[in-house]
Amino acid sequence: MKLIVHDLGPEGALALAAKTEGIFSLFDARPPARPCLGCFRCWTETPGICVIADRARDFAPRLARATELWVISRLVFGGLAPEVKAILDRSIGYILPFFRIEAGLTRHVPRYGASLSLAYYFLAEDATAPERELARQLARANGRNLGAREAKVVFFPRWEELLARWDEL
Amino acid sequence: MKIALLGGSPKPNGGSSAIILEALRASFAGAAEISAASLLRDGPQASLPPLYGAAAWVLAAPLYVDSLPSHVIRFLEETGEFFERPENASAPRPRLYAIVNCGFYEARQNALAIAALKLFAERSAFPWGRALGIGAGALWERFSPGSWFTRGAAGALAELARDALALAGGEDLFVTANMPRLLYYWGANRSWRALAREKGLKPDALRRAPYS
Repeated sequence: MKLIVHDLGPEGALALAAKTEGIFSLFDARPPARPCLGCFRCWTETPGICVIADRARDFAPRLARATELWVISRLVFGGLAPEVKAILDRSIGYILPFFRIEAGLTRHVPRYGASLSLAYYFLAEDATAPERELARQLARANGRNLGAREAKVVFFPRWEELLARWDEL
Repeated sequence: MKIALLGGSPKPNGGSSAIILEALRASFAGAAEISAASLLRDGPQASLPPLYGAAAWVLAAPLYVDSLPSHVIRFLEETGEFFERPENASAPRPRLYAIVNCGFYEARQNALAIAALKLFAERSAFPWGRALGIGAGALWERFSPGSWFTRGAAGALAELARDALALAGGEDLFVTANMPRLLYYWGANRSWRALAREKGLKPDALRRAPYS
């Protein structure tokens, strides 16, 4: 399954749905989900399942079955917008609490066997070079922690340009 | 001088970030007027007024998914918008100090979150102070700041406190536990299994894959 999480507004979300119908499963990060509370109960009490009962909890089952995850987000301080970040923060049940070492750094052990392919599409009209560089580093780090094969990063000024070049992605 | 402490942990008790800020508050005792806010509990609207007018902000947050927690990013974005308003555009900005701790052993894994805070400071014209990245942050919930295991990070925290009082800057500090990495892993994995048992689960249950 191919999965997209995005923070496009209503108009962009409709346009994205039309473009991806039958190919991608879409998850709208808006309206904002409740933030992760750092309780770790998704690791110690209900393994793999977030205990906060709101729509963000529906993301984990889709992520577990996804072979590709595309993240479409405003670029905020070289990273994800808070709405999209909340969905990822709430999905740490995707990995196990246990540690392993990879390339000299501590990583979490995967919960699910399948390897994920990651792509980040950041939207920013005035992104600086350091913001773009940090976004690339973040995608690489997320990829390593999620056990992804790759983590592609592309920048667009607005969602209209992203959708206009959709067939090239 | 007024210094504001910004708690970035979402935990009700504040977790390691709150303990670290309390240690910092103790080292400021008598030298500065301290105000504090919890970024999740208070939110930007409520927390900004007491923070406004402070010469320095010290923000402490945990590392979530290689970056800042979502509510901290939201706070920074709304803070930037607050200072961009025409009536606030010329208002003095506090000097920003940051402490990010992670459960990973390596303190350098906090570098991306610290870089994001620097980009916020640059965009919002906040003067940058200094940052401290702490590895094996979970140990702060188990051992006192003066313990053998946390003494390295506690020393770096004291250095950051001196800088904040002087409104001085410096290179990023990265400090991890005074403990071998493998011992930290052993303790961490053991504590997850112990927590599972407390919840009535067998340790193997932690590896369940409910959505396979």
